Amino acid sequence: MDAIDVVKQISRHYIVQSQMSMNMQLGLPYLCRKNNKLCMCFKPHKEVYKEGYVEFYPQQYILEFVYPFEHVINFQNIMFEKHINIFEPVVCLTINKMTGAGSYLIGELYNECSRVLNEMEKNGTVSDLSLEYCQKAYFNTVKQLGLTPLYGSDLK
Amino acid sequence: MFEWEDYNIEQPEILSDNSLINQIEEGVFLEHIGEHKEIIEELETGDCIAGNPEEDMDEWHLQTEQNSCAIACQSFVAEQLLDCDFSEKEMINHAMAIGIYDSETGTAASDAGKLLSGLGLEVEYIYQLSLADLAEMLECGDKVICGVSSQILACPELAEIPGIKADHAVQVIGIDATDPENVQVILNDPGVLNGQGIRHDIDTFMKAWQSGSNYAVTVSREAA
Repeated sequence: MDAIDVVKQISRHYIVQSQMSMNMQLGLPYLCRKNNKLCMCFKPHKEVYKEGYVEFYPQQYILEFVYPFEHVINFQNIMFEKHINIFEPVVCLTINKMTGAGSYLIGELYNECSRVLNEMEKNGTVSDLSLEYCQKAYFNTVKQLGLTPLYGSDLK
Repeated sequence: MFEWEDYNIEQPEILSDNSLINQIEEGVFLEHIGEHKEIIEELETGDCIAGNPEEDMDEWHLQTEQNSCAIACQSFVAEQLLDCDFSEKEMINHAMAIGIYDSETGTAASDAGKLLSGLGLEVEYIYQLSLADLAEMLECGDKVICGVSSQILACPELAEIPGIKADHAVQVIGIDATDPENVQVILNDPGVLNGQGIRHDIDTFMKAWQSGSNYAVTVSREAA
């Protein structure tokens, strides 16, 4: 089970196509356990290409699926819950960083997600260790790319 | 002021004597534009362009709001098919009134053709549309709005990053296969200053389009 294909399929989900504006990016996939079930969580937000860099705008939605990622377990339009300024970017990344470190780190994150999904597909369950590695890859990607203002950090 | 309720649709023109179609049929096989690297088997005559980009680019304008790309594309198509001026501002107001557009956030993908349906045009929403089918639609006089990644169109290197999703609507007005080694897709892109008839090489366009699973809104006049 390839995480890239799963996320692409999620992009075609009814909720994404009809309840979110088309200029949203789903963002980095976060795998976790909720109610003892494997879930994939996203922080949809807008990204805008400018000459030489990409602007990342605040998270606008909460979107979460339960394995095998057909059913939505949580969908929320955050703009109706609290005040967020969607007109100002929260972070900018240069194209060099995106295509260099970004491409590598996000590629590794998707590889980790694919390992978890393959384990789930094969065994019907996922070990805590596998999930932990995947989550570490997620927060490492966020930290290394400077995307903490958008995704938050693992510091509790 | 345009009154939506009073609009009558004229009969569609007959395309069977379209000289461009005849020219293309003479040894040029647009159906081979499925994989862009295996496009043209034989090129005998002049240029080979699917669609009517020279005419269709007349209706281009820059989108009037930050998130109104889908509205702008629908205004292009409406003007092309109905031969009538459509103000994007009026279309935005109507879209807001029927709840399919928000100035702060834009349009949902599944609503990207609803204004055109409301005008009596035949609208279809398709995933995984092939390039060959897209070319055939343009040949038949249909209009096509595609969901693409604006980031990849602007910077094709970004296509290497997993997870980028289509986030922008453009109208495809032509596919220029005159040079089989350099096939280009011609767009009316409302989101960039030079978007009138802007050309992208086929590789870049396909990557940008594939980020949205080759999503397209196809529009034709209603059958008689």
